Amino acid sequence: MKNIRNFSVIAHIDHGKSTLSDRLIEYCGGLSAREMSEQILDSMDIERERGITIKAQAVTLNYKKDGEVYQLNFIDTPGHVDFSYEVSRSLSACEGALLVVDGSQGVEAQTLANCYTAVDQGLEVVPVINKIDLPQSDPDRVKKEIEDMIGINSENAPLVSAKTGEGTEELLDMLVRDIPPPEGSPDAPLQALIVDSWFDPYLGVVSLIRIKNGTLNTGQKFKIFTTGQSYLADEIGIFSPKKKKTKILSAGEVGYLVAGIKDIKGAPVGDTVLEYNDETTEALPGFKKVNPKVFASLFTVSSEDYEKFRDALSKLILNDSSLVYEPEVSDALGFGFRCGFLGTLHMEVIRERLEREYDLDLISTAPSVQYEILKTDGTVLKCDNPSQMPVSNEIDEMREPIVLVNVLTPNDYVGNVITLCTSKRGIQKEMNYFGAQVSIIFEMPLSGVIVDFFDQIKSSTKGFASIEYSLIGFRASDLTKIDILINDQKVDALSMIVHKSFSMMKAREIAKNLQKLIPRQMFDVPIQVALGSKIISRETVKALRKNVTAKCYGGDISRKKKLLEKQKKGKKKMKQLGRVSIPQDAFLNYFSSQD
Amino acid sequence: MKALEPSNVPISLYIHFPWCEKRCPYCDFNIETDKKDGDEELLLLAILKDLDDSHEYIGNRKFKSLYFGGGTPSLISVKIIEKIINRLNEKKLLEEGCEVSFELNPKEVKEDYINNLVSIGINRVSIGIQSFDANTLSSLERNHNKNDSIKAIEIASGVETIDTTIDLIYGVMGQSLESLQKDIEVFCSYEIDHLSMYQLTIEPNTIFYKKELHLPSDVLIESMEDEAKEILNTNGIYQYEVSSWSKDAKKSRHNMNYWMYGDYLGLGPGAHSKITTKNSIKRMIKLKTLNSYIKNPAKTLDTFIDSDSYDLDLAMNLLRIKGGVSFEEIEKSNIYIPDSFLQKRLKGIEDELLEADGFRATQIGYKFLNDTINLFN
Repeated sequence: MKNIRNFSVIAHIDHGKSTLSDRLIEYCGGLSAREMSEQILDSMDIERERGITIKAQAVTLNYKKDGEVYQLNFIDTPGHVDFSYEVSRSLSACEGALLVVDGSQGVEAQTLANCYTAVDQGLEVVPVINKIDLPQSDPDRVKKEIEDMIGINSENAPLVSAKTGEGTEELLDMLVRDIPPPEGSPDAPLQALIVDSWFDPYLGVVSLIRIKNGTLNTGQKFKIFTTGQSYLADEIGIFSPKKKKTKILSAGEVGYLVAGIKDIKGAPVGDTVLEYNDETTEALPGFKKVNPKVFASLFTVSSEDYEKFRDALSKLILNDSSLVYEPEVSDALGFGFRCGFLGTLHMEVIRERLEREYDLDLISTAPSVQYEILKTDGTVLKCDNPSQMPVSNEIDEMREPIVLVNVLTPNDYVGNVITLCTSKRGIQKEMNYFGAQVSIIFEMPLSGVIVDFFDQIKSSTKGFASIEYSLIGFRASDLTKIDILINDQKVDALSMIVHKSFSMMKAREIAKNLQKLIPRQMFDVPIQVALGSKIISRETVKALRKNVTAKCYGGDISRKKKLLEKQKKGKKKMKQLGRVSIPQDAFLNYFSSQD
Repeated sequence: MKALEPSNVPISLYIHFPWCEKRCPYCDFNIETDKKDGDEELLLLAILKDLDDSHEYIGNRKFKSLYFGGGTPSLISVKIIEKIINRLNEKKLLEEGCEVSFELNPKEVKEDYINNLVSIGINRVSIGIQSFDANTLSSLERNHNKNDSIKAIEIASGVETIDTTIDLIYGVMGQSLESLQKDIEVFCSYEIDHLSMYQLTIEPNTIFYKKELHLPSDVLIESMEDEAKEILNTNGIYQYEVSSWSKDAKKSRHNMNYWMYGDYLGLGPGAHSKITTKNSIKRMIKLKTLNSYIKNPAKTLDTFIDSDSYDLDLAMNLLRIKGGVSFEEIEKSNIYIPDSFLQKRLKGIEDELLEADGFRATQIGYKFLNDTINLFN
């Protein structure tokens, strides 16, 4: 056990975590050069395309040094704020964390937040300066920043270039020296933490586990603490990074477990694995249940796909316990699901996975936060769906979720950041200088953070600023619901809750946007935005004059047929609202209305 | 699909000559611009062989019309055309009074030439005028002018034994309402009974497709159509198909056969055929390049119209007819109407795209013909 090191890597997106991981795998001989051609750990298509890691993954590597063989268990963590919950899960299986900072950029807000989580969980944090091959790299400045902002000694931080491989050995030596081996005893009764569980179509549920005490053998009978259900360990093993069966997992080790469990609820993340007949050993501390922050409804374009959609969601949730959903019926869009997400990126990823992996065409409504509504009868209602908001005379007070946002920006952009945050109703609370960087803390409505805020903060600081936020509570606010009518028909799924001071601007934007997005039809299509019964904005999609009809020559109808086929396909991607065909994009106009 | 009776379905013949002097920028037809000596003789042999091998498609039927199209058939020597017509007559394949059309460019309409055509049996000529307006012609990069066109019309319409039709195009870059008006007035000032008038559409694989064009707005195009209709109707010329206008009795028999879902045999490179068989409709396309066709004239790429695709196939033809088709005419023409087709028709009536009598688009349904046809898709 003294040669086991369990660690995570904390890094901001683009600071080179995946490349560094690959280097470590390569250095320890986990894969051949050819197999290294793609980055290993980001295995989902969407992860690779977006350059983010969504699900935590684990790799076991052997590092030989001075006649000793060290088992390095490396648990990957997502780098995006939407997935911070997965980070704390990964960290709980580790004794240490590598803090990877881009030597040309410096510490970012999200890194800071994850680092605090690691320190809170008692992990040894080892700083590493990456990308030293870049000419603009300034390791001394970054080291000072780490010390100033996080308060850990970074004097001896290894300087590496994941790209060239420089410094890899030094890093591994530091890792083995500074990160403590796991505690616990192989002779004690079995006690293992389920770090993650996912559904594999061939194996059933696969769980990533960290053995805290005792051992788990192939064929051994065990039970899950909360459910009390017993299973046989059909297969156990490690990822090296290829899946590799082993006979035994022992205290301190990290590996996978397959036990013929059909439903992910049978192996809940954060639960404890015990001997099947052990009534005395206690459960390990689990994970805080994650609450979704962003809500949106998803509907299929074609109502025939509803069953397929339901099936897809039930499969998807097997791998993503942070997604919640319940059935919803919309007057305009029919049957669908109201879904809760960790953030808008999570929402986009889920939607894309549903469309790609399950071949669905989906309509997503504008994302909303969850509001608290104090009704006139004294009850408090949680409402995350504008179409379910009570009528105004039943509402005594509307309260919205407020977050504390920490923006970390270079000095030069302080003005831009303050302007942007103020426009989102942010109130500045604190400002601290760390060398060239400034940390500004705002109190802001969550609704201002979930849509486009990341992109806007990036574009107003040339990409240098980063943000991190946490929920601090609900606050009474002057909120109102705006409704959208298309061709005189109210489209419940397009309603949204906005601050009153923004309602006119928003209404104009929405109407203009829908006018652009809705294709011309055979008749005029009025678009109206209403506040209560009052129309506050109006646009018209002018009727199309006619179809273009071409000459048909020599009995060749093939070209015309192709055209009609294309039109039919296009129409299938549109939602029929009465006589009006509306493209998928129109429902997401909340996003595009910010331009 | 229900058993069909091919022998009762009317049939026409289309013969394709692929050569043009140059490719027009809006053209996506199957044409070639490098006609070499001896090519037309080779094509003639292939066409004659193709005709001999087409017996199974024709059966005991005779062609009710014959159309020489292209390309530019007038680039072919009259002798070649004559040999084809002679062969058809030997085989007794042309119906009594068969409409025999021939396409020409204005510059090639000379008195002698027309007389020669008449002498071999041509009784209808189609002249590719496109416009009388210099700007429009230059936008279209046509190499004839207004004078060429006027002369051509005067010569053709002066020959009593032939019918004349001309092509006009609208919706061209820079074309004004007035300029189209003038084009139509010029047309009306001559005794021509038939007009093919169509909107410029930019098709993929054309020279125009790659360019950034400033086409007239759809509002202007609509007024062009309205204005054209006004003038033509005043002169006793009425629309009978999407791009066809004529005096009452002078509809093109050949084109009407397409829209009335008749059969047709196409000979020549890339020519299209539609042949009714016992249990389906067969659509065939000949090999596209001159050389591959000459090597293998009988070879076709086939699509079978089954019960899934039949409704659309039928509707996209019948609905082009402006006045629609009555159920008596449908029955008389041996057009098979499945129940699924009638169901879709009812939906069309409900949506006010189709009239409740016979099979015909309403005024709005005809304006939005693609949407109307898509009811059957």
